[in-house]
Amino acid sequence: MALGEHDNNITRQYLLGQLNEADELALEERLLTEDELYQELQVTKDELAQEYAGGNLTSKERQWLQAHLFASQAGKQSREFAQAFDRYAKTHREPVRERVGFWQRWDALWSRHVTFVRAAAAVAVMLIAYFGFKTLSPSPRPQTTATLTLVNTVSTRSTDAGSVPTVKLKDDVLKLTLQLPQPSSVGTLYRFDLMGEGNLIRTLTTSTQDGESISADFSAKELPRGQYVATLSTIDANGTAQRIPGGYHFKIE
Amino acid sequence: MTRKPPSQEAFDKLLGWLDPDREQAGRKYQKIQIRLTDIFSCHGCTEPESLADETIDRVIEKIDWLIENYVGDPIRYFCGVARNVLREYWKRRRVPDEFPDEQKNEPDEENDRRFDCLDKCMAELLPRNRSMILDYYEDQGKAKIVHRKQLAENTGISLPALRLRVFHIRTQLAKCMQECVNQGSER
Repeated sequence: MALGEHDNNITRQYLLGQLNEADELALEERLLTEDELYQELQVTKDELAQEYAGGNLTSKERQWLQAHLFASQAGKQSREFAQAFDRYAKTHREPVRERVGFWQRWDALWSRHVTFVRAAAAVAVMLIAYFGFKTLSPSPRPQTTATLTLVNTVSTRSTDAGSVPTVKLKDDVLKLTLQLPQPSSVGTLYRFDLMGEGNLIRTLTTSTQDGESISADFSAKELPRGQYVATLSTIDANGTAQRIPGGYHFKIE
Repeated sequence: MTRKPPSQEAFDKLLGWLDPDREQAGRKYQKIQIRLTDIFSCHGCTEPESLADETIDRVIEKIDWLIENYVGDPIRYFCGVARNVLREYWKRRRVPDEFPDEQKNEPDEENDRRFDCLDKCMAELLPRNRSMILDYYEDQGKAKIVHRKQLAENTGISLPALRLRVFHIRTQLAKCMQECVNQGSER
């Protein structure tokens, strides 16, 4: 028998302790016999763990889950997975979405309105060329760059607010240099993730020029006031990223 | 309290009560054992497996009486016994006034190790599955619902099917992450 919306809701209420004892018993009888409902319970458990990790539940719901669903070893592991996944998603989701979303939209647009898109693209290119030439032709103000060299927190153990390096950014660009915890061979590839106030600012793949550090330039527009943390991952020959423990914290004022 | 394990004869009678076909009975028994464990786990029992075993043992103790007198689905009887076991467990358990905030108690190194393992497991996923589960958890509230409908449409499946697919990918990932963490601890 296919499950209805009522069954979706009732498993959630069951897991959050919102059913009375008679309803609980009735549901448990069904859980022992109905495979689909039992699967629904597993899916709802997983979703609740993810909502917990993402901070999307009330404090009462959180406490209930801590004391019930997460009390057993299996429950603890599901919470730990959800928390690791939440962290991963926050670090990786935005670039993936932008990339996929844009190209999907572009493909769809191109296949549906080829003539219109071509004409619009031609006009856009001409306008960009014209205004670009006008804007750039007067001698531009030279770009200024501030530099900041950071050491990995695993080597320094200094993540408390008082010891975080702070920059008053008045320049156009901030050149960030991250000292590698251990020297590596010149040209080794790294993935560089910069997060600010819980948001991913940019992910880029770069290589070490001196075997001791990684550098990347960020426009001042990307870096409003706030706390930032950069993380590095090594990229092996198969393209697999392995995160280097710790991070590089700094503050922009 | 330590319970005496049931005799082979009583256990065979239980299987016969569950289903006349021995293979079917074995499957039903396993299903009951696993699902009772899950039910106890949902109620916050720290050792749900032993409570499930205790429930089954209590049913086995009464098996002669049940075969003679009980009318109805055996599952219903299991549920009633499980509820009694649960009530006794609640009485025995000392409930803390406040539950600790587990996130503050866990060392960063363990969180980092899990994160690194998950990173590795995500890299092993098919790219389309990786992008699907990341995309699935985009947005909040109403926007999230609209976004998921759109994602299901783009993938060419219904929303419930997408939800199940995401669940299966996550189950695979959770298993991979746990194996990786365990391997790290053994070293």
